[in-house]
Amino acid sequence: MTHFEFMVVAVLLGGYAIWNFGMFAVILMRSLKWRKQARLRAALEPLIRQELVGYLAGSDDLAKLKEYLHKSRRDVADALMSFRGTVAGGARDRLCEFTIEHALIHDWCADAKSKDPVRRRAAFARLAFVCAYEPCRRVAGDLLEKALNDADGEVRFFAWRALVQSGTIEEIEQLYDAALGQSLLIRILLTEELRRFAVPLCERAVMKALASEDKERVLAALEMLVAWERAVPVPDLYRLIESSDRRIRIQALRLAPLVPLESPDVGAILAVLVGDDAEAATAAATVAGRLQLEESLAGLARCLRSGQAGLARAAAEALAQMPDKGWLTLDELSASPNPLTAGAAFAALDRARRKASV
Amino acid sequence: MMLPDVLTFVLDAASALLLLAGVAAVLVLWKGCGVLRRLARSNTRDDVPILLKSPRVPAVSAIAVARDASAQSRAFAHKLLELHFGHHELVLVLEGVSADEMAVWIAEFHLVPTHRSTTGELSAETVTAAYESTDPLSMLVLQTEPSLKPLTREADAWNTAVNAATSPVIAIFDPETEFAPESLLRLIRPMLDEPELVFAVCGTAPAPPAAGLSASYSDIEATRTWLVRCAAFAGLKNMLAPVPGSSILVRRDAILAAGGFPGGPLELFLHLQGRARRSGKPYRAEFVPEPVSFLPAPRTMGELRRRNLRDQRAIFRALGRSGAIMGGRFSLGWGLPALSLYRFWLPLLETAAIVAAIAALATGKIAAEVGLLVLLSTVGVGILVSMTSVILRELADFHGSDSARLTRLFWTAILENLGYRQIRNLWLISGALARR
Repeated sequence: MTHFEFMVVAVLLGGYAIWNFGMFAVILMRSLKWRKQARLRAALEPLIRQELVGYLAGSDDLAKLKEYLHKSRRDVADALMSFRGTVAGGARDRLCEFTIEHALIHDWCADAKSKDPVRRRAAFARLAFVCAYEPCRRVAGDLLEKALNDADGEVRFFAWRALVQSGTIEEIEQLYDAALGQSLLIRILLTEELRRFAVPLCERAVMKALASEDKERVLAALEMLVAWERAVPVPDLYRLIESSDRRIRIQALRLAPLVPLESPDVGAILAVLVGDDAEAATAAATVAGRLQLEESLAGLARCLRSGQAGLARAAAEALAQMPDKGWLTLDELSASPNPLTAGAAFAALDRARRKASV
Repeated sequence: MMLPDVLTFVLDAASALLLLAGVAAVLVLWKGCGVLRRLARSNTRDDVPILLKSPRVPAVSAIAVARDASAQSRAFAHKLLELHFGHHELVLVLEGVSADEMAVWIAEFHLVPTHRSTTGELSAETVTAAYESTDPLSMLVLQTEPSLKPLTREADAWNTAVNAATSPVIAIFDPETEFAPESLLRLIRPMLDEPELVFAVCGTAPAPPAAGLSASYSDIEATRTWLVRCAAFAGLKNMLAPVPGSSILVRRDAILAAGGFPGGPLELFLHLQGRARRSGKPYRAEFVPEPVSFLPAPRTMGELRRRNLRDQRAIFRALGRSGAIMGGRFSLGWGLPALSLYRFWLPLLETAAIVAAIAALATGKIAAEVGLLVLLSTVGVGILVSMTSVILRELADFHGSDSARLTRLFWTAILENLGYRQIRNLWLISGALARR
């Protein structure tokens, strides 16, 4: 019996060992091929970049670039993409023209139809860059439009990015509208892309989103506004500060320093300051400090006596930003029997005085 | 039955068990390879520069516990402060340090007493003093008295840090790991993708190649661990737990809702996974298979032994504390029992089978084929499992690896089973028994 068992086990393990050795040979060859490619890339990259720099500077001698294209089209494409973010205007158009002349864009359009999402993503990342140039957009046709509904999230993201590069304001508004329903990560990434359209978007799309019944959309719109850190007009901010959703209240308060405030807005901030929600009151205290709202002195003093560490610290910091009256209040509260109040007031006043003396 | 028959039967049965365990190990390695390939394909975009400057990325409090003022502890604090992130702070608990040691910390980081609140809702150690740095460092140092209850001492130290942390996300790094400055930016991504569902993130990858036999053994062990305990477990529902070399992000509200640390970071992870399982909702921990952090290659066999023992003790200590962990030994489903099987019972069985086979062969009590069967089911299976892990790791990698390293690892897969594996079994047994 043992002999039979031994033979069976030996044959099975032997077979698996042969498979292992075979696979090892395959992956070793793959690894060696990659190493060869990596070496070629490392050698070509600086040369290609040098030629591309010359081309961008106005040189029309393309002999070497054609040679590199013949050696490795992918490396030329990668080198070309490395200029993204560093070239604009005429130089970018010249690069884009190069992709048409040498059919690189046609390669990418073909890759954009691939079933492999990794290849599609790379293609759309490249198309997103070159489609800022009208002739390239014509070559790409409706590929980008179709990619807006791609099953792969990253492909959709690159299509959105391309749209930001080249779209009309109506298309940007549509993109903004779509972005509000995406995950936090995508919203963060698109916020950066959309930052330069903050002002035109605030004319219609942002206002529409802020007036929405969907609280998640309102919140996303507010978060984007806060992240843009641009002075934008938001009429009736007080309605958002008075929202029943505390997340919206807090974001609206964070937006307040960036918005020209009217008297109902200030009233709403003061009301939150004396409200029961400690986190919202903390945000209100920060706003009061930044805007140096002297009407908030009593509310800030109350917050400082609240017994809640975070709120007391924020209120003390706000008072510290209002020399004379605020400092006087801090001085009085430094002698408070409540150690939390006294500590926060003393620390904030001490810091403010040191800063002033510097 | 005569003794030779009994011995033959027992050794045959042990061999069969070891063979089955080998088959199961290969299947789990394949699962890990599949998960790594899926993760590699799902994320090819580099968001780090945008995440670094975005104000919408939640703040992170890196928490750490130190019990001395050694150069290593201070260097670790410096590394945590040098992490690249938009808004992050370090909350450092100095547990039971002497006045002299405290003076060293104060001088190094220019600490001054602070009035910042250090209390919270978790049961924690008594904070005797709190300090902040006058340098432009976001750092809170809490000097504490160690808890009088030895069972909760570790948990209380960590809970002290969580109480004082102000950020919605907590980061934990192992002092022995090497970590990239941008690791927080890479780890936070899954939390931003699904902030409501992802309560924790764990990231690691095997260390870069290093010279020496102990480094090669360690490399192959790290490969197996990465494929099985990281990738394969991450692909199964609520089974991921940190391994040595991992860095961790956990949502602070999840820690508070769970009642704080039940022990160390591993126990916390098990507790949170147990709670997620119990909730019936799709809460999950995500795995980031990138070199955000890793254990550097050991330089000596002694260092390798110490690491093995440390990992083994951590696992069995967590198993010993299963009463404080929701789901207990089944907090990771079949994950912890499987770990217990592969890291204690199978090494024990293998060692016993080899000793018994050698003794029986020497006294002529069993046929040579039985001895060879034991050899095949221990050394043979071990070699094949290790070879498979090397091959699958390479298949999981889309960018290609160093062919010299690949060749070295493949031959180490054979070599490690001819002596090292048997010694490691003894380390694992002693490490587990030390906590039993």
